[in-house]
Amino acid sequence: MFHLQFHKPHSMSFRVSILTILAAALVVGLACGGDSDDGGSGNPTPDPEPTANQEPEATAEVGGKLVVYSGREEELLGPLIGRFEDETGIDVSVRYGSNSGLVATIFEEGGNSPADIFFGSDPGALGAIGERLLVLPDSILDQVDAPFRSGVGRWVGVSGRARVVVYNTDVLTEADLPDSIYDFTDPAWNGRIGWAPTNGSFQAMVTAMRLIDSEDAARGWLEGIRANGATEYPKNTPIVQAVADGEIDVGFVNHYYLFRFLAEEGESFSARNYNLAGGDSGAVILVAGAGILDGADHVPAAELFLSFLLTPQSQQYFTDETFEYPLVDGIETNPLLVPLENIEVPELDLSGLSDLEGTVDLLRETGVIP
Amino acid sequence: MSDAAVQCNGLTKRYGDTAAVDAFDLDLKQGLLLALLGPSGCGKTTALRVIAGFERPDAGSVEIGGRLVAGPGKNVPPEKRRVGMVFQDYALFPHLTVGKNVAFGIPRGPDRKTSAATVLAMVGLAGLETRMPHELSGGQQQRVALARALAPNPDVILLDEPFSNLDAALRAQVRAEVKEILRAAGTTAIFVTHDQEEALFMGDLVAVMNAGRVEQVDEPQVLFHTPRSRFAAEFLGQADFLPATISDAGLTTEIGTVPSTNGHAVGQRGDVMMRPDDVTLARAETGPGRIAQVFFRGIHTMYQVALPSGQMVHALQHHHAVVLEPGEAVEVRLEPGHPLVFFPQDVSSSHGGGDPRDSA
Amino acid sequence: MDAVGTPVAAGGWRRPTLPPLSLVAPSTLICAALLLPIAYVLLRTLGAGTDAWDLIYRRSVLDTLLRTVYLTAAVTVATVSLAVPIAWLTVRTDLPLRRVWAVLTVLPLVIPSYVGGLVVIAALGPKGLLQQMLEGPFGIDRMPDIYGLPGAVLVLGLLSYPYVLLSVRAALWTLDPALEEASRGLGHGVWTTFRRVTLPHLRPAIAAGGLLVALYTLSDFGAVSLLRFNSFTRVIYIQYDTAFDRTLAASSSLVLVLVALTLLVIEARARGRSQYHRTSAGAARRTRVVRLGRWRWPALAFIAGVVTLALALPVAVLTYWLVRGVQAGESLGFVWDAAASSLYVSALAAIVTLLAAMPVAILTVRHRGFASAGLERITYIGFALPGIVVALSFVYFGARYVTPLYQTLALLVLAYVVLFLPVAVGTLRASLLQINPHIEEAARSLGRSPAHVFITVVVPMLRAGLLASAAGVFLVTMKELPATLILSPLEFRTLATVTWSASSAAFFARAAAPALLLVLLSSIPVAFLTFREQR
Repeated sequence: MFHLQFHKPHSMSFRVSILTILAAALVVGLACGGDSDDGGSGNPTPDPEPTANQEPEATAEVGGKLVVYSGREEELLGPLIGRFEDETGIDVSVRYGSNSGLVATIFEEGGNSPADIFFGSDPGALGAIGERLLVLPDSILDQVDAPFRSGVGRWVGVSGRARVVVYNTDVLTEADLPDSIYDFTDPAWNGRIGWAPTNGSFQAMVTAMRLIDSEDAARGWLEGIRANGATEYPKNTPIVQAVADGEIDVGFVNHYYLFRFLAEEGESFSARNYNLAGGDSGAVILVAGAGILDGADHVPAAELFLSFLLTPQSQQYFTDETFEYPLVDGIETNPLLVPLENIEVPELDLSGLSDLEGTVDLLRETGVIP
Repeated sequence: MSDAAVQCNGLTKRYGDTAAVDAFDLDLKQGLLLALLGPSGCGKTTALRVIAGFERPDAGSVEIGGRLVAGPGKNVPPEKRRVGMVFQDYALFPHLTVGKNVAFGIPRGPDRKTSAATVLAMVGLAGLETRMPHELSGGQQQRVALARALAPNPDVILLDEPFSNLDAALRAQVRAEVKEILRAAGTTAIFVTHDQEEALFMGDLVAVMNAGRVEQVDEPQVLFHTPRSRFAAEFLGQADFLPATISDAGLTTEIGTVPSTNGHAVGQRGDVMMRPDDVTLARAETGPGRIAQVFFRGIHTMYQVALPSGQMVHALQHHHAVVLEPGEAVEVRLEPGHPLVFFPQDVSSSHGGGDPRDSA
Repeated sequence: MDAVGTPVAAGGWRRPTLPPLSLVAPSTLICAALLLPIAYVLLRTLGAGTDAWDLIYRRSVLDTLLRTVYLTAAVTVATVSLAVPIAWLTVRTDLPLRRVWAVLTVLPLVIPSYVGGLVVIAALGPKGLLQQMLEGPFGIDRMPDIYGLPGAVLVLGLLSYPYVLLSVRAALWTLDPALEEASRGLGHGVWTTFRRVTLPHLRPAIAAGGLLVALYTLSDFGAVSLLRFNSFTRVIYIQYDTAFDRTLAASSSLVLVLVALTLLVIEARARGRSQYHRTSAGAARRTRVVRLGRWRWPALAFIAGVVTLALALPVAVLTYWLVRGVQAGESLGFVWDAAASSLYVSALAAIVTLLAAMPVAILTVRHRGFASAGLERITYIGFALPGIVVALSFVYFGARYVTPLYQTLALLVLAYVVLFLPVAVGTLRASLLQINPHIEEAARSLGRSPAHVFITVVVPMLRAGLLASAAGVFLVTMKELPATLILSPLEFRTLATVTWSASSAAFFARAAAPALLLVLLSSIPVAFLTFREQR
């Protein structure tokens, strides 16, 4: 009932400063929270109070805003996004994350997803989100050969990656390596193999084996590699590292990781890629691709973005900077890569690779994944 | 009743099925010091906490300074009761200086610091304002706690076992000091203790509590000599209960007759309560008593004497000229010099066994 | 004397009176937020078909669960045995440079577990940097395999012991030195005193920290996946990653919730029922510093060893990557915006979490009862769930019911609160337990309202606990990844997301720069808080 005042400041300087910070940070924090919502989320609900600085800018340009959910890393996609923004004036916001995290996010967002585009780095992820993607116009689809796009036109491949065998150059030469991925079930390879069974690209390869060869062949191979005591890695990168370190002699990976290591560690890095021969299903070409989400608010901008990814300049970027294969004609493949025409690629419609279920069941049955 | 500082009516506080405080009544006048005396677990601390506002009563009411602070539908929070509390463990604020501890409850204003200094001087700690609590001795901390409680000039000061953490030598001294301080401040105070000596020394009034109830409130001498219950009798100090019968001459026991009847009818049987100082001993070959045990206590000696009936009585001897040995036969006389309390048989049929005794 | 610890204290402690609305209302709100992930998991589980259950209750999954429990126990024991001596050495002894050690030993908390995993493999793997160093002089061509349980325990132990360290340090600061002095006075030596007096009093703090470690271990994905330990959370992630099956993943998370509940019961037992505040009279004195004498060198070696493994090694490997990349002509990205975002959002999370933790801690300490105990237990659930599950629950409810807040800082910070509340509650609770409630009552009867008493008396006395809680939440937010990736505003980058993005694309040099910055920037506030915790 009396004296609710504070003590003299110096006696409680700690308390006062803490309280001040608390209050200030809360105010600022909440203000910023609202701010960033206005600024970039591209939320389907209309902004209650459009701010002066964004409206005119947005309407002056082609399509205003675009929201991309990307399973490809910022390191790889970021420069292209910047280029697209410069060329079109479209303000692109990207959420980078894992393929699976983004797919789950889009499903949990339901109809309220702010995403316009999903950019996935393997056919499995694209297949998983397929039901939420719009059918793309032929003008986009037709730029890419049929095997590298969705059979029902919901996504288009943007860049290609080859499945390869990475091997340690200190203990092996290309001559020591077999033609077929099935040959690695030979006991001679016992304890020398690394793989990443939880990786999307690996699973796409197993799907390819099921489709090209047979269910039993794929099962037999999985069991054989397991029996050979293959070392399990969480993803491709540590396999390449482990091969170079000599922890293992060979690994089943996508081709481009090696070039990242070579860029940072130089030519002395003791690992190289090997392309399996004779149209082996272990040499399948996979794609990273993108599609437009059914709840997209900025469809024209999204279509513009997909077209942009397929322009010669962008395709050149992918092969030059991320060591991938271009998917449109007339692009010069990075000289570091084995040209696609020199790889004996198996005949396969990639859209079939988006069917993951059978592969996941097989992986579980064989105990390759828990 | 305008001079009542604290008034409790039918105060009850239950924890589950047990009533820690059970229909507790108290009426304390302005300026008095009341000792709330009882064994551990009798509910005295809970009663204090209900008065202070830390516990909400289940029934009954509390008035402080004529203001209803707790009752049906009303429970004034502790900070608005004008009550000063001194805890057994002092509960000084370890992060504040002595001066700031004392000033904590004083309304902010120009003379806040001076009033704190005045109160601190009153408890004899002038000049220690800038010390931290941990730099003081136990006795000094206890006085800081008292000064802190006194500083806002509360209507009543509540002290919970305030001396139990002090060593014996210091305790006697601090008791006297605290009594003096409280008297000088003219403050009404209630303090809780389980030590009857402390209660009798400190209290203007002593309330004996048993099993959640107040058994008796009286001045110390009255309470000591004329307890209204066996429990009160025993709790206040050594008491012997000797079978007695009311006769024309008064109360007749096996060691003599005293001329008091307490208004009981002739022929009524019962027990008479006697204190060790009511009994005198003399060496006598014929007895009838026999020394059972001797407790030498420095300035006096306590003897336990077996009577022919097998009954034991205690006797206090102040003179050291006669030293009796265990086994010696003695003459036992009842010489109280004041009326003795008689408990008729039908009122208290049990013989002491059921009553809780305090070990202290 | 004879009346020490009378029922006065006990009565005051366990009074069943109803807590005030000012505590109940915020706690109820917090509780509602905490229940969101559980509601989400239940929702998804109910939507799951029977095949999902068949997939979850397979022999191999149960084996995984058992293995995970084993890992959890091992990591918890390891962290307690590291953290308690470190806490004691840095708070109570004359260890040379003890404040510096105090800062350095807390910092491993900020290293993301996948970075820790990468670094340990790079350094101590069969063909790691250590092997390369030893190959020349000693001809060792392969180090013993660190994969599996030993590696997982090593990495998780080194990264998570600061949880225990923070709460034990806070408790040591608050602990009444008279207890130790009493023991010394009774003729016990330093060691016996520590074991018989100090350690039992640290029990709630150890239990609280150990619980965090256990739950962190349960929910970790980064380290276990790199070190190839098949833990239960890894199984959950695999369900997202390979089958894109969020239903199955959520149902499996329910199993994790059950394991967490079991751990909570164990912790409640370990916590004990004693009171830990001072019941004797008089104010607490400051403690005297224990002189280590000839023990200072082994002590120094121990603490330096821990710092070397847990902090210097990661920093060295990251620096090596950075230098190697720069020499190879690697261009480094500009990460100052990410650094600023990290600092800002972590500070915000620390403050908001602290504010949320306060009513919960007070309620559970000062108003013990079934409901408050339940509330306190619930705070831990978010921490036990894989980050992605908590994040998706916020996506689900956020995008549907609070659309304007979705993908804003406000919702992200709320998710951090749900994830990290136990980091603050545990430490605060342990500190609050050591404050004698009579002190608050004394302040009340001196005319101060409960809120005023809280600010002028409780907060200053809780100082060490508050600072430790803030430091803990700050650090774990700095490195948080799954929720940040999914819930942050668009275009919002933190050092953790930049590091993750670069390292998963095998840009090690570009990953090293933000990771080093993460450690460096974290050390500033930790140093500040550590230096202020001493009065």
